[in-house]
Amino acid sequence: MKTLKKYRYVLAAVVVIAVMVLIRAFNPGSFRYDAAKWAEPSVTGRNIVTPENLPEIGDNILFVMLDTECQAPDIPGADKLSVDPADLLSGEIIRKIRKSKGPVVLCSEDVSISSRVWMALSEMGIRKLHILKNPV
Amino acid sequence: METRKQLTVLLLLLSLILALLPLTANRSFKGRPAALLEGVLQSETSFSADQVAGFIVNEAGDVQLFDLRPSVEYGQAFIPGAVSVPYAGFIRTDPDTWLRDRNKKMILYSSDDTEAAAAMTYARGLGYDNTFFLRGGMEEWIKTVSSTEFTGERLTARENALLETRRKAAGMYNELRSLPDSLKAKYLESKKFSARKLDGGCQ
Amino acid sequence: MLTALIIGIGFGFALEQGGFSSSRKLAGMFYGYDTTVLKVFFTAAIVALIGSQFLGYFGLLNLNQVYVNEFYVTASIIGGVIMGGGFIMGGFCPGTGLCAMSIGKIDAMVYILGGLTGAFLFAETYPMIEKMATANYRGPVKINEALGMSAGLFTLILVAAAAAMFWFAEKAEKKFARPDITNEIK
Repeated sequence: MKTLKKYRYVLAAVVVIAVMVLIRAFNPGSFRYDAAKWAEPSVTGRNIVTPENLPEIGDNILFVMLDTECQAPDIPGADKLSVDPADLLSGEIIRKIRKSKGPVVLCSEDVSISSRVWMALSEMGIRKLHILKNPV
Repeated sequence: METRKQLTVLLLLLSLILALLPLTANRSFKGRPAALLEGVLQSETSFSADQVAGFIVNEAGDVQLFDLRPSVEYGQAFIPGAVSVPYAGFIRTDPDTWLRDRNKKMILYSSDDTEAAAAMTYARGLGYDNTFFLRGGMEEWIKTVSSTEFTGERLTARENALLETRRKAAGMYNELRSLPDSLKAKYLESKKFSARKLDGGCQ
Repeated sequence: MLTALIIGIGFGFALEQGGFSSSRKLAGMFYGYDTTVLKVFFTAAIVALIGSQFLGYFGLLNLNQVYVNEFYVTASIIGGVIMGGGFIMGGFCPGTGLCAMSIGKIDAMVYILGGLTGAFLFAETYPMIEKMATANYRGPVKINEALGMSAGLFTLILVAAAAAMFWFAEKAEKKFARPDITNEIK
């Protein structure tokens, strides 16, 4: 106890820094540390999926349809969620995406929109995100 | 003596926290996700092939194009003035290497929109608000500019101006494509981006 | 520029405050009777190391823009030997020499003059020694990268090593104490 009292300022400083580190690491409403690491699936192309290889990415797929023209195939066990990209980060929708048991597939007629959303959500620490791309 | 002990314990505990963190030299996105998403979804974050053709023909000094495709594809054909920065290199290296000049519009393109839009979002997330992408990528460039043809009897003045710009841009594009390999290699070498070394070192 | 000036003023102030304008204090590092140099510079290094990594983690500092010296093995060894010899003979290093010169010490002025002469000779003879100066180039390597460990782990090991070194330094000061000299230096 005496020792703790002697080192109270040291411990206080360490606790403050530790709390700041934990907030930085786990805050769900902010970006994660190390942008390059979270963008890596886009470098290897692992984040792209075509309708043909949808079954390979896993079960319980959640399709996030970013516009009305999105052609999300009907897959058994898959859920569909229609959302305006501007409302994507509203509490309920982002919670559903985070809590999804299976992969989350972003679908839009304009692939650039899916791509932009993929990058923003991945940097928030959401893994298992894919972009549905129709083959040319 | 007591202060020294406290300082030692403080430094040891802080370095213990650091040892548990996965530290890298890579940067992280700034700001709030909602603000970034709202910003990148606006149409002002991209340019059409016609707009890029206009920049090239008018030799706009405040524009720089970056080709995110693999170097091999860049070597075969590229939009005039573009510098090759393959997507993997763009993501894995500090973008400050290429995007440092805040007075220029940095326009990224790939074969289609997927990588370019992602790279634009990545760059803006790191604070480079002067980054844009070419809508449709190289495919759109070839379809709109390179393969442009006039069909019909009459043109409005506006259509005429557009066609003229496309033809000039297509001319420059085809001229570069048809260069002999030795000259093309020299041209590409002159366009290569070399990272600016930091001045530094002392004592 | 202004930031550099302010930091420079702070650095010079700290050196003078720590007694680094005294060549006896600096030479004491090599004879073992005064290890203040080791303790001050090493503490500064580990505080900067810890601070810069936390600043990098919180996004306040872009560590890619922090200059990393380019490593030439041959030049480092030869330069280190020359500098070490000059340090113990002159009782100053370049930074502390400037510090001592600023308070009017004549030996420091001569030391700095010698340093400038050496730099001039280096520049003039560079074509002859260029091969040696640029031999065994390793690039801007960081120690943790060369050792294959994370920056954080390296920091912990270095801080622990520093603490151990300071403990040994205190022991050495007791063993090699020179009461007639160290009492003058406070």
